[in-house]
Amino acid sequence: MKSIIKEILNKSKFDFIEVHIDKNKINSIVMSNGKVEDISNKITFNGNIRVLDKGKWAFISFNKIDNINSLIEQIEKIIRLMNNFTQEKRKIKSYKPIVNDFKTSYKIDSLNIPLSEKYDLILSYDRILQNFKKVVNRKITYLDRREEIYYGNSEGSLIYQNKLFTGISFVAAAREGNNIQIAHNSEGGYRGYESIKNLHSMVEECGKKAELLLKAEPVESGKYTVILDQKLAGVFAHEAFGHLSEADFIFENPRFMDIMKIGRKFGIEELNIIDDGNIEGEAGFIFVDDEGVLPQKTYLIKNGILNSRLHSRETAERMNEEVTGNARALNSLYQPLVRMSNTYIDNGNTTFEEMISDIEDGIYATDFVGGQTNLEMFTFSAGIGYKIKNGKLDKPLKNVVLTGNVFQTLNNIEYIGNDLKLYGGLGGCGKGGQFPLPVSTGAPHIRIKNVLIGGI
Amino acid sequence: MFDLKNIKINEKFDSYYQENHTVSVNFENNKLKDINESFTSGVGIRVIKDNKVGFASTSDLTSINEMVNLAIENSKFGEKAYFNISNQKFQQKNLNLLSRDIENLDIEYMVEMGNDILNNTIKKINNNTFINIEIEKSIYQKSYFNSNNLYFEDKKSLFECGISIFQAEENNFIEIGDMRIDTLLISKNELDSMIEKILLYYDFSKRVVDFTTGYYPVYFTPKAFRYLISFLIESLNGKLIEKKISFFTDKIGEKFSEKNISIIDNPLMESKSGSFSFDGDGINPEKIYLIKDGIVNDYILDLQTGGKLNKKSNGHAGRSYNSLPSPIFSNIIFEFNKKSREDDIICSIDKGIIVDALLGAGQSNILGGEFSANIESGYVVEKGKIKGRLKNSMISGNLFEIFNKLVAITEDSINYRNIFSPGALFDNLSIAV
Repeated sequence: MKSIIKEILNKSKFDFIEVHIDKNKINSIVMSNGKVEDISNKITFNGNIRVLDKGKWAFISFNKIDNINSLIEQIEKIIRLMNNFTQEKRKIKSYKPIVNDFKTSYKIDSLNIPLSEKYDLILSYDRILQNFKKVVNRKITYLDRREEIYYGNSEGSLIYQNKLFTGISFVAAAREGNNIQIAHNSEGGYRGYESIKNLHSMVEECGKKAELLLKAEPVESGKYTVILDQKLAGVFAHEAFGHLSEADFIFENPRFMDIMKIGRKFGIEELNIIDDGNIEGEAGFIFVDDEGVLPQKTYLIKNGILNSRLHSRETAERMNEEVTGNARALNSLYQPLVRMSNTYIDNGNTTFEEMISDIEDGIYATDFVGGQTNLEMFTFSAGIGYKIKNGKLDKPLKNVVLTGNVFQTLNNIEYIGNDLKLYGGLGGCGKGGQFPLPVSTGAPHIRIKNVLIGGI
Repeated sequence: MFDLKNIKINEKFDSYYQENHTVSVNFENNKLKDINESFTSGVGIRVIKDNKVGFASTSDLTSINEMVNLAIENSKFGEKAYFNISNQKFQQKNLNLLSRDIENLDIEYMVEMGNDILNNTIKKINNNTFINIEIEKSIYQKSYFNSNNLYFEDKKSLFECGISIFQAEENNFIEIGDMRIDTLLISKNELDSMIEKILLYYDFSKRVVDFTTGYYPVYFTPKAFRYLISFLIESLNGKLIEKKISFFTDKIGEKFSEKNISIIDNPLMESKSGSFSFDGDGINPEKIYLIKDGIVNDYILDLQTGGKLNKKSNGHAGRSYNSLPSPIFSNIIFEFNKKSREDDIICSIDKGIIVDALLGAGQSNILGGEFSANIESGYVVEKGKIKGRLKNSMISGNLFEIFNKLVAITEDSINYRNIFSPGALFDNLSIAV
């Protein structure tokens, strides 16, 4: 593949050109109620050529490389058209050439595990869920993926990455009459088979939660002091603030730049929000981004103050800031966009007990179903909630959906815990039609005042 | 196009090939940003060996033999086959899904179209507001071949235009967008009327008005109502019925709503984006009533799901080259006997809201019917007049109950990715502020 990339680069007369080729082997097994529902292998081959010439972008993606000359001619045609229609000249930040081969580390290569062994492990997890009598549907999805990604550009970079992703998810649907409740759990990242072998307690927890939700009462809508657990607070960091830090939303909008001015106070001094693609094994781990840039540990908020943001080469050049290694694409059929990697709120000093002790009427929101943001407002759904009454956890609550204004809510964070955890999984982040991009999120417990919760 | 008949295999199988060519022209922040072109193709094979199903796919057409061997290997652990590979010979209907206008459309036309939209819209907005436009044309080819020598192929064109405007102001970000999709070239008139609506709500969004928590009449625009339709019909997917996690399991023939509502799934509509002339199992697609006059009537099935339920497939197997067939909805039509013009519906509201966009709508326990979402674009209506934007608010309800509160729908529907959604007025929905 490297020779094909070199051939394309050698034929190029463009100001800047980068070429991606990826080859993936994916094995997935879906087991439903103890029986395999879907077992499949996918072999994928994707590639693209992305060019910036005379200040104009052109992008072409394919999964056949039988005629390099015709691909280059098509790119030239697009550039000619762009020149006819726009005077705009775009620039990108140059970056040092990287010539290296990378490989993720793991103990057991998931691709070498026989299907029979994977089947037995999944079945052992299914048997745990089977013990929960009100769980009417059990679904376990296993996935391993060997990614071989080749990248080269006209600055001299030539990179090969060999990455192994392994993950599994559990869904338990419990039912009593018309009351249907669903609990999820998932584990996944750039690790080997060893990472999913001992998840029996996670599966047990999933079954318990589904049955508990049947008994949960609907939450009453209103504004509450809320404690978020590590998983939900991590989603909050990702949804509420991470997306707002993606510079492609900001870089051409002067008014937005004023709002997101470096140095603006966003919260208490203990608040630190970080994006770091270097955390090995996590779902958002990258050796380089999809523009050949090394990932950075980027403090988005440092001591409560807006400190930095996430960049591609183009946004960094336009805003005259440093690249952060956050240009990522779902695969080589897509253009890189500014995306998060592993995003988390750093540890503070408060224990969970201290956080809950003075709440008279509040909500402990745990686990997450999903989240979404439109930059100003966010919403995310807890897997299960608990009423907090006079400093103690009380009855379980369902349908806990939290919403708010990002800016106000960050300012309303009162306490940050000291028990940071990171979560990956089989899901991921969606943006610009590219879903699911593997990311990890995490946080310690956090306490926020005045959070709007919708109820029935 | 790859010839599926060249695949060498001695087992019972069916295979599926897809080839897509897409060109998209993107304007971002009031400027032409880029032009992208994508050529993709792939093959998938489903094998039945010893009455078990195995599957594999590849987008590397040089690895067909490896794919076949993996599918056979997988079948050892695969699900029991509750069906036979189709031998149903039928005459494919000509649904006119390929528009020569779109096939022959050149990129220059798409850029000029975007430029016209940009130039006409930019005059009507503030100078700190930014417009994004995406214009895309796609040609999809697919073919199906199986061990009973059944072969089908089809070609479809899609044209899509999405527009959004964005304004960032301290404490009031405004983002309003809409899209149109069709197998035919979308007319200028249709795009103009979409832009007119975007600009109307953009103007109302500049003024945020106060509101109090309570129960109010709510008008969902077609863009917002499609979410309620899609959440509702999800429970009429045969797969969920079979797994007994659908609200509608064992409820065929029962009353769903007091109101005279019908929901139709019709894959055989001419020139519509959700149409198909053969399904992913090689079966002749059928028009079905999911809900008929308020009664739960039917659900979508493919061969495997139908087999498990001891029912015949109704030709709703969705399939892409890299996935096993699974039930999929086609064109969805929502019918209700009380219809009005949108303006008349809004005029009839004494105090209530309009919902045009929801944030996080699909992320609550939809299967359990519980939905709760932030009202991303909502407007307060008083005495039939729109007063301004409703912010920081949530709407909640139970999906299987609120259709009893349906008052009226609009006469016209808009196609949102196969759901032909009208606007819909409900009475007495919970709004929290």
